[in-house]
Order: sequence, then structure tokens, then C-alpha cells
Amino acid sequence: MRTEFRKIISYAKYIGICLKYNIKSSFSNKKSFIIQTLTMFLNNFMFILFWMILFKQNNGNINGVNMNDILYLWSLPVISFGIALFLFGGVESLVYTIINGDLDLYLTLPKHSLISALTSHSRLSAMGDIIFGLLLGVFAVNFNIFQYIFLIIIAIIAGITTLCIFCIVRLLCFWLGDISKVSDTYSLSLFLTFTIYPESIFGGFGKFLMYTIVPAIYTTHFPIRIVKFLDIKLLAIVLFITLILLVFTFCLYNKGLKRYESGSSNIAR
Amino acid sequence: MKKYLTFAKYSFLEHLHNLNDNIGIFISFVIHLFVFNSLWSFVLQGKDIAGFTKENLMWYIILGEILTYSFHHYYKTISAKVKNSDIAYDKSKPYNFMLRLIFEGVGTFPKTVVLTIIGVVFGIITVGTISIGFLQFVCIFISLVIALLILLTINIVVGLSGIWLGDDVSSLWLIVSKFMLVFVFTPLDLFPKIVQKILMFFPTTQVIYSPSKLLVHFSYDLFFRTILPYQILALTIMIVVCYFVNMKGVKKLNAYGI
Repeated sequence: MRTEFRKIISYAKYIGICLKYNIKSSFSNKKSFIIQTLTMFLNNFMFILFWMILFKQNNGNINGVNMNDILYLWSLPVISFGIALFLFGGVESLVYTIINGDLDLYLTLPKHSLISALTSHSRLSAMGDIIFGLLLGVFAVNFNIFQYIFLIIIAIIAGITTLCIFCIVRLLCFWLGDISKVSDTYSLSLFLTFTIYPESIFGGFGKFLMYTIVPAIYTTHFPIRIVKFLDIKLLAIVLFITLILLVFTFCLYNKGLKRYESGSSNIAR
Repeated sequence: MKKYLTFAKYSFLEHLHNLNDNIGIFISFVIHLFVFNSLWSFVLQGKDIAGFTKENLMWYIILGEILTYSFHHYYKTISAKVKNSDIAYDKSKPYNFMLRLIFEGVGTFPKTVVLTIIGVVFGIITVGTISIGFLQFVCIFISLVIALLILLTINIVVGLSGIWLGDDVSSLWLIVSKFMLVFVFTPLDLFPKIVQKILMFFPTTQVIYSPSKLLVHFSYDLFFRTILPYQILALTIMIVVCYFVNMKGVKKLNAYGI
């Protein structure tokens, strides 16, 4: 048990070091970092503006959905999405890394090659998401400090779930080949779209998708309910799902690795 | 003229050949339509908003989405030319570089046709048909062509701004595209009156809002007195901006010695 705990601490430190170097590398081009962060912030704000206009037309309530629901919807999932892509930005290029044989580089490292590949770089604009989500979160929880801390903790858990889902889709490339475009469409269009709208707008088919193929319910709507209503039962479900997805991701990776073809790369890192 | 048509032809054939590569775009297009259909069904529930019924809004959104996905990421093709110095090579050739970009952009038309077919089928299944007379169709078509030309020039300006912005050109596109997308989500009529007046001068408004509004709330008065003058103004502004970006960009290329 103690060894396992040490291993977790060691990996946490490793992720921290990778993040430190990714941030340093991001700050080497400060102008780019600031532009990407600001534009992502503005991009997210446009959606809030859309909802504000809509609520103004409907006297602040649309069939049971109010502005507070939207604030939650644009804080917790946005933080978790930001965390997943800022800390583990390598997930976006995972398909290319695998099909081009670039995994060789990470297989030679002492830490797990999947974690090394995922932490190889950060998505700069994801910082804009994190800042935006954190700011909006303050208003969503109505300045309640304990609920705010709880929101951040749940967002981290949701971030891990989101990362696992993005990984699983991309790891299918071991069997299906170049699925970069399809996997990008899945994560940046399909998954994201189901994340940023209230659960209640979807009917039977939409709900079916949310619980199965596009499991946004576990990364967004359940976590929001957990923070809003301190629902411990739902928290247990989300934690269980996260754990299952985490184990499944590593199993899938290890199985896929047997099909991996080396790129005979001699790059040192 | 023949050489420019050849550029359009090759771009057209390339897109026709690679239509399968765009499968992700088509899926994304359908997902967005599905979500908007769910969203507006939930919001409206039989009512209307700022004069738009559910049927009006869906056709408005379908046309808006078709326009949004047209020339999808064409700015990236142009900024890639900037990044790998192809632009310097292109500019030394005996043709007008800007016209080449325009005709190559026009060559991406097969994608727009497929999107239109998907959009129309989706619209008929979800909200039923929309009736348009022949003359009305001609007016909407004119507005649509101008909107596409404005969108093409926006793509060219953003792509060429890579000369100054480098990789940050995607951030610029993110903002520009949001200024268009906001009108897919929200028709201009939902904004306060004063904001509507200001936004009408934005070229991004003329890409999505004007032709889509014309499709669902057609009147000759709206077309001739409002939409057409604003669209011509927006297109003129964008052509002038294109010209200046190109002119200034050439100097920058020399400075880099590419």
C-alpha cells in the first residue's frame, strides 16, 4: 500500500515537473500565450452573452433553467476541460504520436509512456478556459467559499474523466489507423456540444447519447448536481465511473501497445 | 481569366476527390443542427421569439450553419502558405495572387453543396418545407453569393495576417468566427435596437444574419433597402482591407528576406 502511495506521489511530482517546463516553454512566447488565453476567454464569454440575451427575452427563466444553471454549466466543465488540456495537452496529438511511431521517444522514459506522451505539451488556450471557469464559478456558487473549493475539487475529478474519454477515443487508432479527424470531431464538436447546453434541452435520443456514446453526463451534468445539491450518492457514481474509465484507458493502451509499430526514432529527451 | 479558372478547377477537383476527408465536418454540422433543434424546441415550446417561430429559426440556423461551414478553415491553407514561404513563390508568378486565392476558395464549393443537401434534408425532416417564389429565390441567391464573397475575403485577410501573427492566426479566427457564430445562435433581432444598428455595419453580420433573415422573413423592401446596401458596403470594406493587407504584407515578406 505504501509503495503504491509512493508511486502516486512520484507520478504527481513528474506531472508537476512536466507542467513546469510546459509553462516555461509557453512563457517563452509571452505574446502568443496572452493572445490565446484572452481569445479563449472572449470566446467563452460570447456564449454567456447569448444566454443573457435569451433570458432577457424570457424574463430570466426558460422552462425551469435560469442564469445560475448556465453559470454552473460554463464554470465546472470549462475548468475540467481546461485542466485536461493544459496539464495533458499531448492528448490532442496522441493519434499522430502513435501512427507516426513517435511513441518510441516516450517508451524509453522511466515513467509510464502514456503519461509521458500526454504531459509532453500543454494547450495554451486552455489557460483561458481555466481562468474563465474559475471566475464564473465564484458567481455560480454565490461567493460561498466552501462550495467554491468543492466545485474546484469536483472539476478536477471531471477533468480526469474528460481526459480518459478523449484518450479512449484516440487510442482506438491502434486498431483503426489514422482517426485524427474523427477523434477531433468527437472531442471538440460532439462531446463539447453536449457539455455546454443544459441537460433538460435534450429529448430521448439526446439523453441516450449523453449516457452512452457521448458520456457528457458524467463529466458535466452529474458533477454540477453534486456541487449544487451536495449529492453524495452521485459523487460515488462519478468516482466509480472515473476509476473504471481510468483503468480501462490504461488497459486499452497496454493492449494497443502490442500492435504498435516503431518509427525507429532515435530522438533523446 | 483562363488561368484563374484553372486554379478554381483544380481546387474543385481536389475537394471533390477528398470529400471523404470532410466526413468529420459533415458529422459536426449535423450535431450542431440537432443541438440547435433541441435547444429551440425547449426554449420556444410553441411560442415565438422576436417574430421567429420554431420553423423560421430552424431554417435560419440551417442557412447560417451552411455559411459557417463554407470555406471551412480556408484561412489555414493561406496561413500555411505564409508559414512555409509558398506565398513568396506564388507572388513571383505571372498572376494576381489575390485572385488566385479567391478562385481557389471558390473551388471549395463541393463541400458547400453537400452541406446544403444535408441541411435541407435535416430541415424538411425536423420542421417541414419552406416556400419561396422564383424572384424571392433570385434575391436570396444574390444575398447568399455576396455573403460567401465576404466570408471568402474574411478568410483571406485572417490567413494573410499570419505574416504578422504567426501561429496566433488561429486565435484571430476564433474571435472573428465567434462574431459570425453569435448570429447563428441569436438572430440580430433579439439584440437591443441600438446594438442592432451598430452590428449591421460589421462584415461578419452580413455573412450569416442577412441571407438567413431574408430566407425566413422575405420582403423586397428588406432586400433592396436594408440587406443589399449593407452587404455591398461590407464587401467593399473587406476588398479594401484585403488590398491593404496584401500590399503591407509584401513589404513584410521583403523585410524577412523570404
